[in-house]
Amino acid sequence: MQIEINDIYFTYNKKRYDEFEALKGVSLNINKGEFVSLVGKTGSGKSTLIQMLNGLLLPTKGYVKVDDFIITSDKKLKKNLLRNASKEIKDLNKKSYLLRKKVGIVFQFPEYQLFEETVLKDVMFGPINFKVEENLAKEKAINALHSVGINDSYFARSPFELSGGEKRRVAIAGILASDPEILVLDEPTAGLDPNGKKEIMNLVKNIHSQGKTIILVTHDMDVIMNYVDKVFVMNDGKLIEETSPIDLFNKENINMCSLEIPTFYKFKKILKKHGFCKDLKEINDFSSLIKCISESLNE
Amino acid sequence: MNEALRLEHIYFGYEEDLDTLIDVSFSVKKGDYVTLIGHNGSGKSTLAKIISFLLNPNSGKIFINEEEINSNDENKLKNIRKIIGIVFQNPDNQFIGSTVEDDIAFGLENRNTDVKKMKELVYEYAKKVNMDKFLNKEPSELSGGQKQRVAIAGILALNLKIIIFDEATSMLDPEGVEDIKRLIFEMREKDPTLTFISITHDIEEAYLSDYCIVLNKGKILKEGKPFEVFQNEELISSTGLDIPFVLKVKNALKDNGIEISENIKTIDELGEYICKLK
Repeated sequence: MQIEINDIYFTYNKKRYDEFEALKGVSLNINKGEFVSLVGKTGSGKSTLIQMLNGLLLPTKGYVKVDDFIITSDKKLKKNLLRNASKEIKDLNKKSYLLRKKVGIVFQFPEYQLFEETVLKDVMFGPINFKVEENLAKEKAINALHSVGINDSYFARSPFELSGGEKRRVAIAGILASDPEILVLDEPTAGLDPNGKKEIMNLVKNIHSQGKTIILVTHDMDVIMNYVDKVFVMNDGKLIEETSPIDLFNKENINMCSLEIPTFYKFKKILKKHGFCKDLKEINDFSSLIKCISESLNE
Repeated sequence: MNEALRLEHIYFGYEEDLDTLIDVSFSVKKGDYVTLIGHNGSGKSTLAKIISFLLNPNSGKIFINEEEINSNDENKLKNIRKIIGIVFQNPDNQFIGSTVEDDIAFGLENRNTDVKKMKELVYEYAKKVNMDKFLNKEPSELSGGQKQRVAIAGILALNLKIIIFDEATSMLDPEGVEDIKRLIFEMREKDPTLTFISITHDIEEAYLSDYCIVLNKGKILKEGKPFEVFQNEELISSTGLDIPFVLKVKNALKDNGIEISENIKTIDELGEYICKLK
């Protein structure tokens, strides 16, 4: 198990008038090399949860374990959990920047965070921050840029001159340059056209095929349908479902998680509601559906 | 006076090449819900800025309510800003106030709205976008979607005549997007002359709009009623856009000899229609 989330709770603004409990006892496990997705409505706790994975936020109760790192604000618990650990692991747990290097998070609209004068400098920022010396940082940045399909002619340009899709790829390269083992992406396809979406998702797929663990936060059910192996559904600070994409879309009460299911599945439900004469359960692609409708009408 | 907006031969380029917008002309009827679609980099956002007089075209004319607006005419521009408003995709670029309340009030303050009336309007619109419990919050305490709600409230509160959304709901979840759509619908019911221009990647939204304009590489590729615009599947697909689901089903059924009425637009109508055909 690469990531172990153990009954975690998190409260924002504790003991203030606007105290808010964002996570209310969440447990889940993610294996190395898995491609999973976290879904749920705004405020369901997804963003809070992903920030725990690299220690940007610490659980108020419970703990997260990422490989040998223990993430919790409960010092006693941490000490207990590390009691029998080797000295190496104990030392490792004192270096939180190593956790940040291991888990790369690409936040929503990451292009808004580009800031350097040139594309190359922007992507080098991460490795340099992780104390990589300049020449090596440059090499890592160049590799990362190439891997997201940004060629050398862009390197000296200002990131602000690029198109939306290009900016996003540069921002992702900025995370990849630090060579994370786990890549977390928050709504990576938001605001992109269908081609831009495909480009970004194929890029993510490619990164996944290099053995990295991918955790995707998204409302885009087409993305889930086409790329993801497993879906965790969150609602009101709790995990309510762990399932496969197809099982999720065929569910009756999916609306409660504010998921935009693919139009195809929505349409199937509408047909059923109006009393369509055939069973559509096993129909999971467009041409079979058309065939089924045509047959029923021509009978 | 049935026309809200008209563009004639607009050219624009960020550098010397005038190739961001090439000879763009179209007109928008009062009260219409217009969608502007196209791939990333097709010139949609630039066009939105030109329509809202935030960028000047290199050449071409813009008419609002059938009156040509010259961007050098300060007085006219001032009046135009009382008519047209835009909400951008990135809410951080437009969050001006130090709190949610200040931010929604900003536009109203600029128009010297009476303080009491302003407070009422701010609360009313904050409530409409579900942000009334956050009035004292600072932008740093808000999520992207919440900031977008605030930006939308700030524009809707101004009682404008032409409202432009440049992917203004891109950070909201599906439920949030529906909330805003419902709100716009109510406002258009109340004021049938309210013109709404939505720049969107949501092809289903485009299919349900009154008028749809497709931009491709800075030029208008096609415009008209959505069912006409999307009729040529190949042309639309070639620009990297999807075909609306209802139309895809209709066309596929047509190939099998089943005709579906032109009036069917939503998947709900289509599902009901198919079940009744039997």
